Amino acid sequence: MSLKKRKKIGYSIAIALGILLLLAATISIWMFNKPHRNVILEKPSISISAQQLIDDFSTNEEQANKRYLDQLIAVEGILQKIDSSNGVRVLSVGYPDASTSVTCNLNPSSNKASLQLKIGDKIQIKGICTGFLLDVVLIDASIIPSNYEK
Amino acid sequence: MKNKTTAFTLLLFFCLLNSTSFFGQKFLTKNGKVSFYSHTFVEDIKAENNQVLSIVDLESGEIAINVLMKSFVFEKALMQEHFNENYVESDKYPKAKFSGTIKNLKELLSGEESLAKITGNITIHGVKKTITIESIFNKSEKEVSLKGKFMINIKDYDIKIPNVVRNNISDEVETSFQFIHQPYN
Repeated sequence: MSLKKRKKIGYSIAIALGILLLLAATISIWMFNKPHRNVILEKPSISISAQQLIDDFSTNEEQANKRYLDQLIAVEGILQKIDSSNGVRVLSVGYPDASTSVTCNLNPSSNKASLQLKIGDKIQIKGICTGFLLDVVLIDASIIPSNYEK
Repeated sequence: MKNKTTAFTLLLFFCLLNSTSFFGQKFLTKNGKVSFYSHTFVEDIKAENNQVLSIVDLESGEIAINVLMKSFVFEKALMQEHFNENYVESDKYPKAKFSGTIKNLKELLSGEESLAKITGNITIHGVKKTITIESIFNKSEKEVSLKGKFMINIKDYDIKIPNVVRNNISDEVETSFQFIHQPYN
C-alpha cells in the first residue's frame, strides 16, 4: 500500500471518529439539558371536577396519590380565591361550601388570563398534581379557555 | 328525635370550631417556601418549593410543617427526575414532615429575643430524626414569619447517590425556609 493511500485511510478514520464523538457529546448534552414538560402544549391525561378530585384525596390519599401524582390534570370548579405568593399567582378552585379546595400555582404564561377572572367564576384549569396537604396542590397550572375544544 | 340529635351535634361542632378559632392563636401558610442548595466543585444544584404548609400555634409553641416532595422545581428537568425517582423516591415517600416546638416562645413574644429555637422531629425519605434549628422570628398583628436555614446530611436519611454522580452532589445540603403565616380561621 502506498503511503498516500495509507494516509487517506487514516484521515477517514479520524474524521469518522470525530463525527461519532461529536454525536455522543451532542446527545449527552441534549439529555442533560432535557427541557421541562411543556404543560401548555401537553394534553391533560385526566379531566375531573374539583369536587371529585378533593373527595378522592380526602377518602383515600394513598390511592389518590398513585392515580394523580405527576399527572397533568384538568380540573373544573368554582374560583374561590386569588392570591399571590413569591411572585406566583395562586388560584383556589373548589365548589360552594367546601373547606378544602384545589390550589393551583399558575405558570407565568397564564398570569394575564387570570386577571380577567372573578371570584365565583366557573373555570377549568390544568396543572401537574404534586399531592395533598390541606388542599390538593397543582403546580405549573394554566387556565383552559372556556371555548376549549376537547 | 333524629333531627334533634343532628342539630345538637351540629351545635356542638360549631361551638368547638368557634372556640378553637377564638381562643387558639394559630397561624398558617399554604405557600411557605423551602429551597435547597448543594454545592460541589462539579456543579451547583438548586431546587425550590413554594407550596409548603406550615402551621404555628403561638399559645403552645407547636409548629407543624408538611412538604410535598414533588413540588420541588429544579433548573434542569433531568435533576428533578433523578431527585424524585432515585434519591427521595417521592412515589414511595411523597411528603417530608417536621413537627416540633418553639422552646423560647415567651422571650420571643415579649420581644426579648428574635431568634426562635425550635426542636422537633423531621421526617425525610421515611427516616425520622430529631433536630434543633434556629430561625428569625417576626410577629406583627397580621403575620408571623419564620425564616432561616440549616444543613441536612443526606446520609442521615438513607438517601443513596450512585457513584457516577457522587461528585456532583454534596453530602451536606443547605436547606432554607421562609414561612409567612397568616391568622388561621
